Amino acid sequence: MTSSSLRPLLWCGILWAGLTGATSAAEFKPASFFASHCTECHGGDAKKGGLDLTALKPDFAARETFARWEKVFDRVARGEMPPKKSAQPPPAAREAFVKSLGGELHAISAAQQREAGRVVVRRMNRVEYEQTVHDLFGITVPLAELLPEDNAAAGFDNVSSALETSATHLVRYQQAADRALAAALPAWPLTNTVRRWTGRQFLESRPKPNREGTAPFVRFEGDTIVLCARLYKHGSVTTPPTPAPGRYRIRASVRAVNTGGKTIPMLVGKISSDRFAHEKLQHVLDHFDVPADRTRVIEVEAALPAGEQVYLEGMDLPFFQDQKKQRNGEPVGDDFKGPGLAVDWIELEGPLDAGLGYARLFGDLPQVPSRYLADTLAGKPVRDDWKKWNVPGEFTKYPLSPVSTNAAADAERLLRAFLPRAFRRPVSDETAAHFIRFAHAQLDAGETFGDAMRAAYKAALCSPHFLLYVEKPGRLDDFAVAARLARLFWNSLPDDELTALAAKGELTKPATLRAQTERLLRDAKARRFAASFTGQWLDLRKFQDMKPDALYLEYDDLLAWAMPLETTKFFDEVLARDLPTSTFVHSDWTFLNARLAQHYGLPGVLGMEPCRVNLPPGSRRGGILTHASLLKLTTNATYTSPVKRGAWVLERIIGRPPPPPPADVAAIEPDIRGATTLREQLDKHKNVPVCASCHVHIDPPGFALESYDVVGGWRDRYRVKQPPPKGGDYVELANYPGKKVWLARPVEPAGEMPDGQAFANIDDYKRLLLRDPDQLTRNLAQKLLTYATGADLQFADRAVVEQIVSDVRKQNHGFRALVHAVVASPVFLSK
Amino acid sequence: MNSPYVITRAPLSRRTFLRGTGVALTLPFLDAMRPAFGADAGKAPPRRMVCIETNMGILPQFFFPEKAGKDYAASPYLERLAAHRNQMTVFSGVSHPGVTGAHAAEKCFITGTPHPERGGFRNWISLDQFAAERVGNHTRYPSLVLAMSSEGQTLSYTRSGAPIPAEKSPKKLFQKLFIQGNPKEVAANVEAIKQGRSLLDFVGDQSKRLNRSLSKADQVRMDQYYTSVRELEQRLHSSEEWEYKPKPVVTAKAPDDIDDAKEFVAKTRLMFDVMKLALETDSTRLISLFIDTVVIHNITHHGNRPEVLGELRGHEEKQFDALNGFLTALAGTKEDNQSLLDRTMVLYGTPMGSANSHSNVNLPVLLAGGGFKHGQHLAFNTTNNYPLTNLYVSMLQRLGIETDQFSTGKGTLRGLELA
Repeated sequence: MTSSSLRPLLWCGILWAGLTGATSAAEFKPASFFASHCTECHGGDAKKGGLDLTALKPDFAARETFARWEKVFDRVARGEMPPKKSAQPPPAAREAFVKSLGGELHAISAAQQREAGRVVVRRMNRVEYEQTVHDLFGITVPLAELLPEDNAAAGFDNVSSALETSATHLVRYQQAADRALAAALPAWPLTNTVRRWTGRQFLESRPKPNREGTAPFVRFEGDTIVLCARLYKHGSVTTPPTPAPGRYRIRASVRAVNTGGKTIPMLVGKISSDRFAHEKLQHVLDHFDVPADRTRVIEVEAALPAGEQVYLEGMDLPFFQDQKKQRNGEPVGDDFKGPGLAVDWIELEGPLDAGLGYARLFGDLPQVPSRYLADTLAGKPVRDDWKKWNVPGEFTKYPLSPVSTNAAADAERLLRAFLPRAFRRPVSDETAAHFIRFAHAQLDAGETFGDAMRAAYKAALCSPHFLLYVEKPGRLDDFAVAARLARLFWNSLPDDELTALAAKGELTKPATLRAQTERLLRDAKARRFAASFTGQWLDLRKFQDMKPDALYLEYDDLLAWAMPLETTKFFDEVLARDLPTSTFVHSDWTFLNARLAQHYGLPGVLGMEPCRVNLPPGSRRGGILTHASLLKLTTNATYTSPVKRGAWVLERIIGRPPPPPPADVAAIEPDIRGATTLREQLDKHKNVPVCASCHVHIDPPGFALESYDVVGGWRDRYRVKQPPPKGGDYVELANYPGKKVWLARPVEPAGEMPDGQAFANIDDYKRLLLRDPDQLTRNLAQKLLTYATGADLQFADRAVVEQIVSDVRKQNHGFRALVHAVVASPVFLSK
Repeated sequence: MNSPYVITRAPLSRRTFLRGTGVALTLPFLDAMRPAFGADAGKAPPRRMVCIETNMGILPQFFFPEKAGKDYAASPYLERLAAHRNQMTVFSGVSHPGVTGAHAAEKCFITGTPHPERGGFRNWISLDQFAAERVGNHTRYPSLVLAMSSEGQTLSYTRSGAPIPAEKSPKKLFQKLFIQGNPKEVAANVEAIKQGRSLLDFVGDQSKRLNRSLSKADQVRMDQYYTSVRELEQRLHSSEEWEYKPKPVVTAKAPDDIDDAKEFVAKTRLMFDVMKLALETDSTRLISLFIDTVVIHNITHHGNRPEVLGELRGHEEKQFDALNGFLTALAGTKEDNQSLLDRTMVLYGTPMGSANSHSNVNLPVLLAGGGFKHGQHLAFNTTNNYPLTNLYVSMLQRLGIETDQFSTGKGTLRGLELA
């Protein structure tokens, strides 16, 4: 092993010493170390990088000064300063300096944490708001869209320092509360019902023009409808419309017929999406593989607006217009022998949480239409024919209203039950009394019981107790921990089990905490954690932002559907199986469906549903760096940028974000006509020291990933739109027979690491990354801690991070073990 | 026994009525700044400002004239605005100091806040809201925050850096500005405002109580909540006074919205029509408009391919035609002895100098109308740009606001004089 490859380990050791030397800090006297090793460049007249160490006072209490010292610590501890070309301090001197400076910084930072904690009062972000309110009332109406977009800090949009509150927020919280309460309290009776149509019933239910549009392309076998063409939206088989917004379960009994034994892919989608949402595939609920001649019952659960219908689309069937042309407009008829998608029945069940909102808000109080409220309250007999009213019908004029014969007492009882759940902790008598008084004042002013309570609930949803996470400095109490856990894994509020454990004071017992973490992770709501965390850690939220240029003619909806699924399923697998954090850099398996496998040039994968596939040697895939999804979202529409991808890898995977580019640097103009490559332009950096200091880190991953194009496909040569001036070839795409493109210059994926190690391609590069598994774990620990607590890491947290890394190392760097270690850490369990 | 809360009056309560109408109508326009009501409008002629951003760049080769000064030859895009040549100044070699980050810069076009791409970025107050805080009290709406967009983008930011959600529907904007509610609706609006104030009073009190038990850093954050409550209470107060005043009457009909995102030029024309009416009726004097051109975004990464450049140029020319229509409408509307354009500054530009490379320097920007000595191309250094934020200082002064700085701008723009 060369001395340079030992480096990371060596400097980690020093770093560790610097952090653990905290309590018995040696006296801090930097002057002689600076004088011997630093001030030649950073002192007096020479202030390289604007740093004058002779003027840097050990005034750690000042934030800016502290940040400067922290930078000095990092550069010296990592061995980046003094620069390689200069004389190096003896290891003992370096270690002593790092240890004493680290001790000072840790002590100051730890003292601040003891006094005030790390996490300043944190406002819910709009995603948390929406999911919390949804869970509170069992509703699904969109709420986040009403609220101002949140800022992000330290890579996440739940970090307290970026979550300001303004008058605009207060306006919008009122609107959102109104919308949520309206959805929770429907004006007419709503129950969870199953609505099923047989194939025949479906067609009969259609209005005449629609029926006539569909009929020529279908035939019947008994009550089963067989779709013989690719129909979609209103033209195809749909569920009955949803009666109200909510969560629904869609089921259908389907099989493929006359396909010669072949399975066909089927799309399940929402009919009501505008063109724009359609382009982002927001109408797609799922894809299924429908087996030939064997019935399969498919099931999808989805949040749907009122009046929505869900349709089935047999994707491999001929387009209905084509079929019409082919058959000269002749309907298929019952003796048609072509392929088809048979649908025995389709079913809509829901709203699954019907009644939950009312129960949370009004308990078991009865309801009557407002027209009968006064009579009911006066004890007069009231006709109950309203139970047979059409929906919505008269209810729009006379909405259902709760009946309370003892309004003042009911108000108190209901609020005492509601407030602790909404506020995520027991509510003091004083606070409860304020809300009760507020409701009573509304009653005094002549409001109906229902309206008075609505006003009080709206006030609760706009109050700081609900919108802000308020924690006390020091170790958190069990309720605050319950709130953090529910926020971390569900983006929501604690459920009854968490609250009960907190009330008993048992939640923070290590075994309980672990068991609850497992329970929360196994719940379906943990999908929100995966989506929110990978959405930001890996930018998956931005996957649809860029539509590739037409130059990438192989890009289609099926590919756009499969790409992000590979990454989310991969993340789920690493988490579920507690695989090492290095799996994110390399694995010999991944999740593919037939479409993505074709894109990767891997034969033998069938069907639309992604499954775990073992990668053959030489596949050029494995780990998330080679996922088409991430390769796509780190490029522009026509060209890849090694700078953009390189900086992304440093920030997200390696955990050493490069400093921002200097303000006066000109952007590189890409020229995709093939005359020059970005690579050639970037090579200039090597010779300019001010550029080289950062690009020595940015360029290696950027260059290695040049082997993947804008849509994540493998390439040996750059694709261009028109024949280049010389040396171009018009060739067929390897994985897409019949599709031809112009290729120009060859890709140059080779490069060298900051320590001089050379790599020839991405496989080599990944091997070099894997030399330092601790750093991969450390990076994820930092990201998870930031996300889990809603605050950026501080100097005193470094010791905790190192402790986590060392614990998780003993568990084979398992990712699930890491999640447990984060939850059990003092950073998570303290303010 | 009789409970004191047994209700005997008519079942359709005021609030039940509100649920259907009032609240939804009243709240959106409370998003923007609103200074205390009742300041004297003064004798000076009203000064107005419209800030327009298109977010995906404007092809520089078809925008910038080659020659500086008064006798520049109009570029293809400026040719589209030829009728207003003497009422407009074109800038080159300008950008916002430190504003980088490619697309991220779109949120800084009228805030000028450096480095939106960096972690921990927080925006500063936008030009229109800065003005609204000071001179927004003369009109029913201190400012209008508008967008032609399918996402939540906006040009306007509060003092604390929160984005102000924009109105995206010309139809709803028209209704808000000109459709007079019947007495019952007015009463319902007033009631909604009163209830809003009572709720704010209550939650404000909650935050004060909570605050007592907090550490210092937490108190600062809680104060922000409390201050927001107070500010909104003031806005509600002045909104209530306006509720009793009749809305202006216009002969135009409410437009029908266009839902197709690809028809953004047609949508923009609709919005321009209502904006002109808003200015003409003095319903507001400050407007921001964000035009999201994401639908043509694919081809803005043109890689210098001629056929794509041609297509993009066609789209952009239509956008300039729409702008020309707006300027012409303002120029053709008289107020006292001047045209509306004489009193309305129209800023039009984009946060990217070249969408192809995502650079944020050499921004295509122009200013029309508003009472400056126009008719020139002010050319600054294209390698070392002049701060565009200085233009904003000039515009604020033109509005009658006494300030010599805004954002990174530390003085007025060199070479631009008041008419």
